[in-house]
Amino acid sequence: MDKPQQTPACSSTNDLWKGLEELKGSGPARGQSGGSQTEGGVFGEPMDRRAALKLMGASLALAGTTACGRLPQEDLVPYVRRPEEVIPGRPLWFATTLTPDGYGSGVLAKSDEGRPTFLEGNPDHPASLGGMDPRLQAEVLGLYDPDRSQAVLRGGEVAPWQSFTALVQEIRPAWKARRGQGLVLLTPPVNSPTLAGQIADLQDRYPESRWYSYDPVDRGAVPAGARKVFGRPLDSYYDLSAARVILSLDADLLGDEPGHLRYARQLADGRRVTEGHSGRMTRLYVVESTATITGASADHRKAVRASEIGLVAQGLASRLGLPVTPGNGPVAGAWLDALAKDLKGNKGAALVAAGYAQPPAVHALAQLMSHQLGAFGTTVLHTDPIRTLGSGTLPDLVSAMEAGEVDTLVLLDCNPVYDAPADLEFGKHLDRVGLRVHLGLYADESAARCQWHLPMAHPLESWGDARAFDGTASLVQPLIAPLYAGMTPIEVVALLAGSRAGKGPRDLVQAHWQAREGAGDFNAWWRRTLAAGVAAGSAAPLVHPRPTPAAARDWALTSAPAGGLELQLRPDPWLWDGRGANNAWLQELPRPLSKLSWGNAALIAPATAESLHITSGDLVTLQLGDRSLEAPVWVQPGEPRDTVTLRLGYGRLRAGAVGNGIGVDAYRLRTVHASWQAPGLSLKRSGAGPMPVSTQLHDRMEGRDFVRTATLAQVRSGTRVVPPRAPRPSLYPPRTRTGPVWGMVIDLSTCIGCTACVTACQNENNIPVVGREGVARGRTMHWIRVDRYYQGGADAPRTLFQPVPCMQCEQAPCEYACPVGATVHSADGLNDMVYNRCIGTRFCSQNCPYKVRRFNWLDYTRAGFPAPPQVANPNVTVRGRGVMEKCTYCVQRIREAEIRAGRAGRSLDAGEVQTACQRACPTRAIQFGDLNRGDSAVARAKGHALNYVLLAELGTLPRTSYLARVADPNPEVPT
Amino acid sequence: MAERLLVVAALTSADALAGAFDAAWRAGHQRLEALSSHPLPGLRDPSRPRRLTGELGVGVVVAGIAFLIQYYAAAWAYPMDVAGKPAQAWAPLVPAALVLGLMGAGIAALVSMVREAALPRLHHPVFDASRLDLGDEQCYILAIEVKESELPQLRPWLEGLGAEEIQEVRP
Amino acid sequence: MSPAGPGERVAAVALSAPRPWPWGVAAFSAVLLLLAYVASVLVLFRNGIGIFGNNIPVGWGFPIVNIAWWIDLGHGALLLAAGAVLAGDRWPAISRVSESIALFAGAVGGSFAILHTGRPQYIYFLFTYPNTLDQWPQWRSPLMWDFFAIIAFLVVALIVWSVGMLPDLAVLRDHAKGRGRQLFYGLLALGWRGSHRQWAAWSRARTVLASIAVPLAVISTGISALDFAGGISAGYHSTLTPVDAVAAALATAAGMALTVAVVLRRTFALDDLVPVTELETLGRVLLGSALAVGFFALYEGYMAWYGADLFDRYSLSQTLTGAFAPWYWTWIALMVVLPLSLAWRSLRTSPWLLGTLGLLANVGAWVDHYLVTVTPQERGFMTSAWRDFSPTAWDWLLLCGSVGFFVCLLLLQARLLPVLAVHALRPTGQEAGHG
Repeated sequence: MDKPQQTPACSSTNDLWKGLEELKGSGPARGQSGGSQTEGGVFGEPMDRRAALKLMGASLALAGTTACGRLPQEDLVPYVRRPEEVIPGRPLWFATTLTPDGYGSGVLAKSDEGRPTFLEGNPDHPASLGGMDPRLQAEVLGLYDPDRSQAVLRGGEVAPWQSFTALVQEIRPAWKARRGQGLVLLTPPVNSPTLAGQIADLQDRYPESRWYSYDPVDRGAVPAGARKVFGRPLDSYYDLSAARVILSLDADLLGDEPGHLRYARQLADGRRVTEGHSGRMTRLYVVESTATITGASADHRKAVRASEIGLVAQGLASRLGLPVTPGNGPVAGAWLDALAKDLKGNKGAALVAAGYAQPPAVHALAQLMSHQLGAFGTTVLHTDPIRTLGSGTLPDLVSAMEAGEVDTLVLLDCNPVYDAPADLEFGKHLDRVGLRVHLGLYADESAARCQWHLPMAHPLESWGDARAFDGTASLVQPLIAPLYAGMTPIEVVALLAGSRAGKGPRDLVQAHWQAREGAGDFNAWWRRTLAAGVAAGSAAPLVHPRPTPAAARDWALTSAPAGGLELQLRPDPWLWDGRGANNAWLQELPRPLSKLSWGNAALIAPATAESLHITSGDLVTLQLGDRSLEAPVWVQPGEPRDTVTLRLGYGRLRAGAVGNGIGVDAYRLRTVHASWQAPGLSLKRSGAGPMPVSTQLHDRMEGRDFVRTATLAQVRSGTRVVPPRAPRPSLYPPRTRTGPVWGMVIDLSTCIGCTACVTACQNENNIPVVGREGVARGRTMHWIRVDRYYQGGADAPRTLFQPVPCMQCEQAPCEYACPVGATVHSADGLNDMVYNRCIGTRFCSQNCPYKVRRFNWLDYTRAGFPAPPQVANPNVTVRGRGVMEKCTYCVQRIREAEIRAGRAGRSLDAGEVQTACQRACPTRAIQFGDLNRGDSAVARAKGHALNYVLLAELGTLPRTSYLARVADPNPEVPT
Repeated sequence: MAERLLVVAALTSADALAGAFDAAWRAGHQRLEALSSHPLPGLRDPSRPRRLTGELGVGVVVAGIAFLIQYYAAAWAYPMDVAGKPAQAWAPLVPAALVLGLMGAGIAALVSMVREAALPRLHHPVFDASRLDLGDEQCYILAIEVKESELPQLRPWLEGLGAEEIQEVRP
Repeated sequence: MSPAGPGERVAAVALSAPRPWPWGVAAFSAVLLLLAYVASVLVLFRNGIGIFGNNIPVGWGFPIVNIAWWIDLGHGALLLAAGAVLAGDRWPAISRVSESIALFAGAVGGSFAILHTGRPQYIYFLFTYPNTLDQWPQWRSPLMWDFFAIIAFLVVALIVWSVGMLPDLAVLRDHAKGRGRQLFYGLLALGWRGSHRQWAAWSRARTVLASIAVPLAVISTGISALDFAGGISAGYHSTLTPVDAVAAALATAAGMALTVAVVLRRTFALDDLVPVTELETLGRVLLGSALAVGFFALYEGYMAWYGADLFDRYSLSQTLTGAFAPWYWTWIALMVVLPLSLAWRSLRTSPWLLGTLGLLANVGAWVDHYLVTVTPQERGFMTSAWRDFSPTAWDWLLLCGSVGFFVCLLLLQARLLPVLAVHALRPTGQEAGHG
């Protein structure tokens, strides 16, 4: 992977984009996207050499868009001379930024012939460190989603952009006159400095205008808690690499906290027992209200109702010497004693993190405890709030609408009609607003209630910027001209403010940063930042707050939780607040713990389900106050008792062909004052419904050691987890292989089960989705699956993850089973699939003990939810009906590297070839390389005492092996 | 050259036919046939019984060819690394060769029967004899090919053997 | 006019209308099922094998079960027919019926061998032909062996069937009224005139073919069992399976022959030509092979336990008491326990009981193949991949359709060709069943 900032090729490819941008801003280009007429653009000027080059660069990108078949003739500028750095068949990589969860995360986007096809984490970006998660990965599919809104809609009718710009120009004077009174903006919390600047500018022009912000994934408790302690709102993030003992109070550090990819990497490095092992492991305690991957990787986990976590925190705080009323909550006192001892024993290297779903009081307690443990400035870091919030919240907006103070409401990239708390009845009040404008990627539920809907440009089509969890700013650059005439929020705000003056979005972003960077060679800074994907030194300055003396005393004790059932709402790991609902990859990707796919369910602990006499597949009516919702039940080990957990983001009505009507809409039970959990839930069984579909139906290993476990002591002593066995007798002589011997090692101690590898593989290898019925039938196509096993009692099980790709066996049972030789060993010992040769007898899969082979039962490239051809990896065959397929160790990457090395006349470097899953893994749990080279990390890992293979007794000699999962539990914690 | 004709004598029972057949054979008639609707266990067939060598040979040859083709393809023409097994491994080639050999032998058996029974011969002079009806279990026919000149003394001789009705058929 | 002889009566079945009403009912329903078969094959070719219930881990569902079922029925029937020849060739029903079953069941099963593949249009990849791609089949695959085994079996079954038919066709020829029919049967009979030389060549060919068919049937059965036994999955990987399969195939074939023979002699009033003693012989075969099957079942269970392999023991427990138990015990009941009743002569001589038991044995055989094909995959090595198989409507339709296909072939034979081996019938006067 050539990283852009290293190759001069990419550092100057901005010319390319500058060219495209000016073309995009220019008349004909706007024309092609049915956009508003603006002056300027290279077509106006006499054609000088630079302009010609720009055009060629632009035409490259346009050539990419032609695949979408929506570019009129006049823009198809043929190559006169081949543009620099563009070699057909050689992809280019660009650094950009995506914000699937409201915070910037840096990615490297691969562009094949001007078409973005693949995403990787940007190693230089603090939020990703090169790791990926499925939400990031799936953005590339979302870009090509045919259901994206493709034109301006006025009252549901397609209208040209000009009609809207004309309207704005028409009413601007009125706004000026009334100083913007009645003009209201609703956005998510803004993490784009430029957009924030634009909005500020707008409010300067129209002082009376209002700006409200709303995030369905409500993190308001974090600053609120800080305010309790420090007297002012602050954001805090963590440096897990400096931590030795970590306590998470309902904080899904590895899953959905801002910076979770970084945390995952740091935690993994602290727990890795292979390369340069320090002899100890970072110990992780988790007290959580629903089963998450963070809890799954914990050494000690307690499942506690969200409302009772406050009591646990309180009990611990008192043990840490804070003046609070002592107690234990539902957790055994001895457990808390041991925990407190462990924390105190690691002052300065311990931290307590609280999750956004917890009330401010708990955050306050967490801050105080961290302070008590000397964590401030070392493991717990504070900044001023990263995201800029509006002057009011959603409820404020609603009351304003009720009071009739809103006559123009502009919804920027948000969908409150769907995701506002039900008790606000946002839709009803929205209808009373005079002029309603909606900007979004989809003509969604909110768009349907507005007179105007404006198509938004996808992040991969946009210019912009975003701040990460720690405030680091990075630029968003387009890889392709907008497919559907989309505009960015920045443009729209500028349009409203009338400050646009024909500037394209890039100019707006540049203007902002020029003002900020001020003097110096701005152009150089711009290029550097674009290429690196990070604005150097832009992280938010740390603040070092002291708890106000009062803080320790006067903070509201969490009210004693009411009895009875409790409802817990959480964002869906993949669909998030619902924005991912129309993404087939995300819908089909099994949730890490429940392994549910294509739909959500009421997650209930086994014990609770037993006491309620319900079981998985039952339909239940959830009654909360005067609101009720019917949902299917899924019995989920590791959930706390007496809770029902629902994932948000489902039950969409206008998500698109994929997402409409999938799952149940949990927002209908959400209220302003109980955004994450609510007591007093009543549950009634209303019959049996269709079983929620899951990709793994059996949770236990039945005494077969697929996931082997070890203790840290064992690692120190170096005893092999599996004693080496003598080679099995064979009638045949063993094959000796020269040249590269590709192999893989997966470290189960650092695998957190996030399934980023699955989506990355799906993206890299053109893996189709099979839809709900397909998954229900057991026809999921994912080449790599992440198995999840439970150990111990169903109420407090130990959760073990195991990614299972093809084992690439030396003596592969699948191969001798095939009558036509469609699966055979390649020269370098890969277990190849020859799609053209396959006639679909499926004997290979029957004979595969690991069941990693996948079959095209139907024509998935046409039926169901086919991925648009533009997103397909040009180096990987798209499989037809009736053909077997499976993991190939990303053979296309191997061959590409070999060719590159061959042309350079050198041999492959160790670790030069990296598989998609390996690249995506945020914790670097996957090692891949040539086993014949001693210097390769994978070869060393194979020699490690923890190394073992699956089902060794079958004598298949797998090339893929595992490192046993190591844990370092605190011996003093009572089991 | 005297003209030859076919004397068709209908007999009453299987035993009678068998007797007549023997007698005629001993009387030196070489070209004669006993026809009946079902095989006659009592009839001593003077023709020399053949052994199985023919079919066996064919079977062995076919099996050999089948094996060699497989070996050529697997080990010579396109040796592939299948499950790490050596390309020259012969054991997996046996089953197919075996069954194909048996098939060859079966076909050989069919061919040799058709040849021996001189089939297909859709018309044969004996069909002109009115008494030949394989649909009738009681039909026992002795057909002797003789010279015109032998006819006079043959008739009474056959009647002596118990022939019910005697016809001459001219080919 | 003397009473019609056996040959004439057999010929009459094919030659003279009207036929008894059960024939019409059977023909109508069989043709309906055949249409269902054709329809589902068309849908299959349009949509792909996704219309079936297969999944990962259960990649082999009904189609494979049906292949194994039909083909093994054919193998067993060929074995039965050959045995009958070698034992004196004196059973008009056993010979003709089992020879026909062998051919027809083989044909139906063979069709599934094509239908079950994901890309039937490329089935020719299995043929061994020189090509510019230097592509050859992969000889180590039991499926490849099975492909040749099926071909060899079909060829030999066809030869045995037609050679046995030859003299009887001459009988039909000489009974046929009307030029057209005489020509038709005349051509089929190849001018057979029943000379002592032809009879000698014929009975010799019968013997040779029989002595070829016996090993072929056994080997083919073993090979088709190797499709499973050659695999490494627990429940597949058992060296006993091929032997077991031979016994099971024989039981199945005896059962099917019984059913067909009983229906035949009743429908066309041929009771006296197919004496109870002949049915009893089949009953004995069924009893014997059922005993063998039972023994093998015991032995297999014992070995799974004695081998103390984790996975084998697990599938054993599942089989005896767990998820597979219903299937397993149904099979044992139908194929082992019920046939044991034939140990009593009084029961063994009741045609209807024999016919019913025969049919049930075939149902049992299907269950057996389901048990071998599907259930081990439902609970394979990786517990994370455990998943049950549930057939779709198309699975059932194609299964029933194939039965219709088979019955149609039998009925067609009854309509056009001699339903009994006339050559094995003794003329009235001589006592039947004596050589």
